Amino acid sequence: MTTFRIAASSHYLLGVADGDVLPSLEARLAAVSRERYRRIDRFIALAIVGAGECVARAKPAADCGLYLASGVGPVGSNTQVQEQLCRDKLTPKPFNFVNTLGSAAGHYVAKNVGLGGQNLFISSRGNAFQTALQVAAADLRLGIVSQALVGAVEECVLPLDVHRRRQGLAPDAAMAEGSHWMLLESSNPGPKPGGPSLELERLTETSAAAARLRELSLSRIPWALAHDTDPSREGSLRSALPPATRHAPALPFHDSRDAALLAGWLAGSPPPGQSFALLGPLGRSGVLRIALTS
Amino acid sequence: MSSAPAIHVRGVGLDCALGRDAKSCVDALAQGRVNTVEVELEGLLEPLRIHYYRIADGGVLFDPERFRPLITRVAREALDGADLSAAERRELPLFLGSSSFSFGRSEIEEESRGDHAHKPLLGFEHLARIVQEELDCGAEVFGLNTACTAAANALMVASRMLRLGIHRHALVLGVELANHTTLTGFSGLQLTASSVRPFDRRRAGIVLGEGIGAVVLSLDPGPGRIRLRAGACNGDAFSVTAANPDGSTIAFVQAQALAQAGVDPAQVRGIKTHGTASPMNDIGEAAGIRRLFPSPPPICALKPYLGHTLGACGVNELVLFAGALERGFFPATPGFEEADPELGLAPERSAREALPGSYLLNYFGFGGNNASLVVERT
Repeated sequence: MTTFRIAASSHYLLGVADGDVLPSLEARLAAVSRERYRRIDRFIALAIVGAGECVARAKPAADCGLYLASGVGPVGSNTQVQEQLCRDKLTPKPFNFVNTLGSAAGHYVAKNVGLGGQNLFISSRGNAFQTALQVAAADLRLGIVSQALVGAVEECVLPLDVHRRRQGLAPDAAMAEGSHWMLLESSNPGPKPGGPSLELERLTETSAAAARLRELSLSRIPWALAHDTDPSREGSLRSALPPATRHAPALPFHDSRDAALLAGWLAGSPPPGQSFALLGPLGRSGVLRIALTS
Repeated sequence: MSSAPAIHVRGVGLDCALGRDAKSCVDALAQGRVNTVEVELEGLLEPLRIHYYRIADGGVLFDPERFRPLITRVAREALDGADLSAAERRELPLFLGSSSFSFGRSEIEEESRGDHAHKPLLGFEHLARIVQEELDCGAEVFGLNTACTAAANALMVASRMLRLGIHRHALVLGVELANHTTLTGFSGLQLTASSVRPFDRRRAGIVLGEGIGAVVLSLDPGPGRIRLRAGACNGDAFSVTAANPDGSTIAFVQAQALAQAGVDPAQVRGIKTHGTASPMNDIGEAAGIRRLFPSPPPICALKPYLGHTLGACGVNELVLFAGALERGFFPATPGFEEADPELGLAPERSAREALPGSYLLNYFGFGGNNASLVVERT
């Protein structure tokens, strides 16, 4: 188990309903950036806004690493490129093509925040943020970075019915876009008094995970299951998961809803000393425990 | 870092224009073989012909059904070479690097439905699922998508997980297969050429290629003599499509990787450059090397052999370069003939002996992503 201090966090989650027009991000962009970027797409804008709002009150260290996560990446630019290629039978426009790469967003975030160190784009459906946290945690533990700016970004591309179909969702699924960030730093020898912290624990086998969760006594701590937890894994942990303290808010869908859950909990300004645990699948039979303490 | 555990390259697999497995690829590298084809992209308003390094599997280039057999074959080659137990294979995490993921498959499915807006989102997990289903490993997946540094970063991240003891072994896979998006995208950027001439005065751009590479990294030594000592990456704010031409950020990432490996620049025996042969890349890379190495060691570029395999080149070129070091040679760089005075750097035109010691491997990508790896031949 490793513990990190959360130096700052930000949370942007916007539910999008059928018929909605996505709001402009110009004002939020202007608030976090002196530069006006002309060739960015909405995915990049969401990343700049989220990261910028996170570090607005906590300037990151010079060696801070950037870990940008997304389940489905820059869908809007990808769709534009496919339309140019397949429908219009043209070669993709250069900046649409470049923006299909998730690392383009990392470039603009680093430029905007002033980071010149490690810069990774991490992608996996359903648990991209948890994966990024693990990569960042490894680098913090090894001392390769002293801080890690970890974020998850998911965009919502209109029309919604197409966006839902693209992701295999029900026609009436509630949808969202989001940008959720944390600035983590090593907390050796322990968290600074009064500051929020994040614990990351890899429990690599079911029975050991259940025993550990019982030891942690989740009856006193609100907990949630990660959205990609399969029923069999949940069933095998049932004895350690008291239903009374389960936290299951109905979040609109985007692929990094777990990041929204964590960053949203921090954004709710819980009183000092409160905790919240997110439990998700790890490998074949393990559990990844992410615990926040305010 | 001197007390850090050694990370061994225990198994390798490769399928690219040079050959259908790692051994035949290194054989072809030793012989200086270069095979490109010309590909015509149909269905565009203006026909597009492009030089390309393709995998000689005899299949239809843009056939989405190629992904499964090709990926399975290469990953299996690396796993068999690593000689892990069945239990170790089942627990093996997968670190995946690609820039296009499975664009090709998405495009075909989309076109067949005549519905261009409904691009299916196969890309980010589809490749991992092939490994999981066919080889019963990769239950834990780390997907890196940092353009042309993706697989190099996957190697770097995997090695750090091993160093911390989080995993004992790891499968690292780089995948880049032909797809219309990449080929037309690079053509639209006017970065493609008909031949690869790294660091040559007449260099005109890149030639794309497809390739799949696999490496099993392990804390336990295998029969090979290659170790992955360290890796570093950084973000370059200069441009979204090129590293800073003054070489500062490239010098920095090389220095970071060497510092993490505990290797002084003067100890570096040779450098496998990124060497795309695009005018800007080679300017920045040459400047970066000269900044860190007042008297640069021998350098080579491997893209004349297998093309620019983009997000997969981190693993593909490591497998190829490691194979050469294992056999005791430092590869020649075909395509280089005339030094560019602006660069002040020239790759080896003939293969030379590779002595035991540390070697640096460079990779740079869109998004201003720069990566360097340090390997050691014992």
